[in-house]
Amino acid sequence: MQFFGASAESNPSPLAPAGTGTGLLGNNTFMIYFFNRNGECLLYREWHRPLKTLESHQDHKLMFGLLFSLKSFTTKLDPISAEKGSLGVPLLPGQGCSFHCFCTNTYKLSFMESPSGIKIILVTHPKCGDLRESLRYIYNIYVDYVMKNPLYAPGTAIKCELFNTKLDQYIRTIV
Amino acid sequence: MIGVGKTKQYSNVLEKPLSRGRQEVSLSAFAFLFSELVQYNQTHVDNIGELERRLEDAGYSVGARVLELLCHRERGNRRETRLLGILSFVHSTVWKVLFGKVADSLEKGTEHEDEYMISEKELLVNRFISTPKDMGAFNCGAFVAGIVRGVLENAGFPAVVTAHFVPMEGLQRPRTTILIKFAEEVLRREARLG
Repeated sequence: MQFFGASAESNPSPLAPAGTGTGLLGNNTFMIYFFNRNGECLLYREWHRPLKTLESHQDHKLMFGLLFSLKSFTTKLDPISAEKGSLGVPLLPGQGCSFHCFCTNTYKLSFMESPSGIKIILVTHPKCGDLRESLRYIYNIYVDYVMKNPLYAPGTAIKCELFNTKLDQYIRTIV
Repeated sequence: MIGVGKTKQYSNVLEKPLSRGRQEVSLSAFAFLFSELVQYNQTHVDNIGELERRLEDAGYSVGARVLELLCHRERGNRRETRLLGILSFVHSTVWKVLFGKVADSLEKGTEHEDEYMISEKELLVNRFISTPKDMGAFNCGAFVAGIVRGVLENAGFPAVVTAHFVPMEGLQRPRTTILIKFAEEVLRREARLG
């Protein structure tokens, strides 16, 4: 399947992709969200968010709803693939077409969904390039430091300090 | 499949030659298995101390078997009788076979005569584990402490072995120290041997 095929071994131990950061350390990335299959927000971290319009619970619901709708829309409008699910029906991961980012004049939102339903949303500065490899790397960090941690209960908010540290370190290097 | 392609079938498992076996196992596979071991024990205990004890007992079984295997494979069936001998056996041979590298350091305790410490910057079993704050000083390295205790006790050096986090300046994560406290009889025997 597309998800696993692209890079043979993308584990965090060798070099991270998207090498050197710019002078503004960490200011290229604004926020990150992690959602699970049921819409629960597992992690929300922000590095640079001067404007907050909604209180966090509503913010998470809005984000999840936005992605859910966008995924359904993009599947409906797809001119190439043969079968289309009906709007509103939850799609299996990998089915239909999956959108991966949208760009505005002030930010760029990149999205990745894993086969297990974990959704990673990264909001960055618009000049960042294609962040799909970065999202895959972040997913690997998640698998390593959260899934292999016996003291984390799946489905709850992520509070593992190793994961937070590694994530921060990697986010700083995103161009 | 196990057994496919083997030309000679042994009727008795004791007659089979003891092979070198596979030298390496996938780290991810081990991490998931260890994670499940910890989670399984978590559901069966009421407090942290009990959980650490269960992990130690699991390690004890591993240690007892590892001692037999390594004495046969690496040491040509010789057994260690001196304290320093068994400690360097644990520090180098056991660590090398289990974790792929020798332990970072072996030190003698300054306060007490019967204490020794094996230190490691980060134990392999703890590599992916971050303890939440409400679990206090719980250390999954109790499993490794159990392994060391299994090796020492079955070699004739009864000891109490525990794993501790030691915060170090300059390092983000605290170092892990395996503290070995030998029983009285070991020290008396060692003194007698000169």
